[in-house]
Amino acid sequence: MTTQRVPMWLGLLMGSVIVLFFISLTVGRHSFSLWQTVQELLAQEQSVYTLILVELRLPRSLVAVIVGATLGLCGAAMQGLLRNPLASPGILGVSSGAALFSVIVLYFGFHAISHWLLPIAGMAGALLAIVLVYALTGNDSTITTIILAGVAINAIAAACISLAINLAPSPYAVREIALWTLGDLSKVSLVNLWLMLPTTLIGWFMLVGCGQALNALSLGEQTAASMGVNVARLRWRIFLATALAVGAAVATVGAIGFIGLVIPHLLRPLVGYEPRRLLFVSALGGAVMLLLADICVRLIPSQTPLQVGVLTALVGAPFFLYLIVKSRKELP
Amino acid sequence: MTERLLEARSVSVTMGSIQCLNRVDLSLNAGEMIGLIGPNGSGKSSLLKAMVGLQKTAHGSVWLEGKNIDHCDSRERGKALGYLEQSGDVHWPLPVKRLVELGRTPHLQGWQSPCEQDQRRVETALKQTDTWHLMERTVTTLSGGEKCRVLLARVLAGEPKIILADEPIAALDPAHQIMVMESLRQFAAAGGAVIIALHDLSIAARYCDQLALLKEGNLIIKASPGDVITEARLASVYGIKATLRRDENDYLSVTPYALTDEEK
Repeated sequence: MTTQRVPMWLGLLMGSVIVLFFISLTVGRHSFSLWQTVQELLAQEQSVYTLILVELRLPRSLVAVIVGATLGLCGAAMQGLLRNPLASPGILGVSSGAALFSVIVLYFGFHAISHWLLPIAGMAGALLAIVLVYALTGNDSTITTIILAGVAINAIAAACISLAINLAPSPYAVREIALWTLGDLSKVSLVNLWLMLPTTLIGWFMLVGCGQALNALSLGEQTAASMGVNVARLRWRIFLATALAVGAAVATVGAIGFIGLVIPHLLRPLVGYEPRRLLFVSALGGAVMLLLADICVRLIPSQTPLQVGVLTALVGAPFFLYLIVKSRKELP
Repeated sequence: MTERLLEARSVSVTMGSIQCLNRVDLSLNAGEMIGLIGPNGSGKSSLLKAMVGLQKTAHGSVWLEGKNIDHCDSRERGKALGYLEQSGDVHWPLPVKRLVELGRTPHLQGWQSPCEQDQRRVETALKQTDTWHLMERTVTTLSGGEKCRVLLARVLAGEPKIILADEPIAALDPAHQIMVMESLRQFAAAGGAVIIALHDLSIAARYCDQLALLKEGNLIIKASPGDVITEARLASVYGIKATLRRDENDYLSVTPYALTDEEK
């Protein structure tokens, strides 16, 4: 049985996160010995390398782990909730809602007033997207209507972002907005990390207890409700948790797509298809994928730095296509 | 006096402008097995859903052990009532054993995993429904009949007081139809109560203590099978002509052979 191998996969994924985290600390334009730099740090000596390590690479790697885990976890929760392997935080428009609000802040230069405004706007956008989806679908909505509502929100957000790019005052602003919507880890600092951490942790915490209800939901909403699961409350809880965690993530690093879609789908067979077991495993898997992608963009030689969101999309979009083809074959 | 476990009091259900149920009264005592019969769209499923507390009533109320079901804690309700849904979709290819374990959900706190006692209930349920040998299989690879029995095992694993089953035997071969009905009969004999929507009138007459006949949302009659199933009533409610025959064990068998003249 595959389910007996779950601890092995957990161990493997955890090990990968740790190894990739350390690799991520060592990869970059400047190469230096991690060991030596850590020793310098311990001796409280300051050098260019200790600065690069503490101010750039450490936050970058930590944010990669946190954002990756958020996307993997929320993807798994969404897929469990909607009982659809094609669902992801992106599908409900959470990511694009957060992206739109962040772009508005960038466009009008509000982030010059306070750097807190960007993450706050991201979370507000994510929340607004969720509330809109909820308002469009109501309490007793089917999965199809939820997904359609998500598609609509995504379209609106995309249209408004295009408008912002269209009307942008300078080519520099166009570039900033466009690159930012592609998702990028290279500019994060420790401040960004502290800014995103509280809401991310609240979101994670809210999702942790959902496992059993998500398992029960495998039998359909009616049967789950007959077993005492409050489906409406569960839906709200997952919506809100996703808005908080994904909103914070998108505001910090931009819209990095497809991790929430690909990772739960890839890992599901390894945990016996159980939504509850998938949650933690997917969080680890998401962290692995984003760390790996972020290491790759630093290693792939290119004139302008490659954006990490571009890489995940290049890998993820064909995978999405493959999923559609596969689910068409499986469904009657 | 027998204990009144579940009771629908003057329940009406409307969906949009359509009236699915019109002031239906139905009560269920411990040890009783009631068959819910009636043509398609007569309100059987709506009544079952209302009695599980899943369907808002436009009028009237449902009482579980003397308590209004709307005021019951959802977990307590989940422990008392086992609902076997008609469609019975399973959305992930779960192993059969894990699926049956889901029946323990109302007994577990959110963070708990099934303990040894839960495992024993699951094993008993698997044996009762003749699905023990399917334990390691993936639910999506099962035949329709096997899946029906596994879903029944899920309900039994929850140790409910009352089982509400919506046409559970429609996809089963005769042997497994009898097996499922026998397990439900046993469940009632052990002090539980069963309310089951059925299309097969002979099976309904053979296994149920009482039959409740619905037509267009109205409860026509609730009485013993022999009193409910008459040629005149089959003609007026179902629009069919049927042969009724009692065999040596006094079991009623119903063989429809034609539509009534009005139906043609």
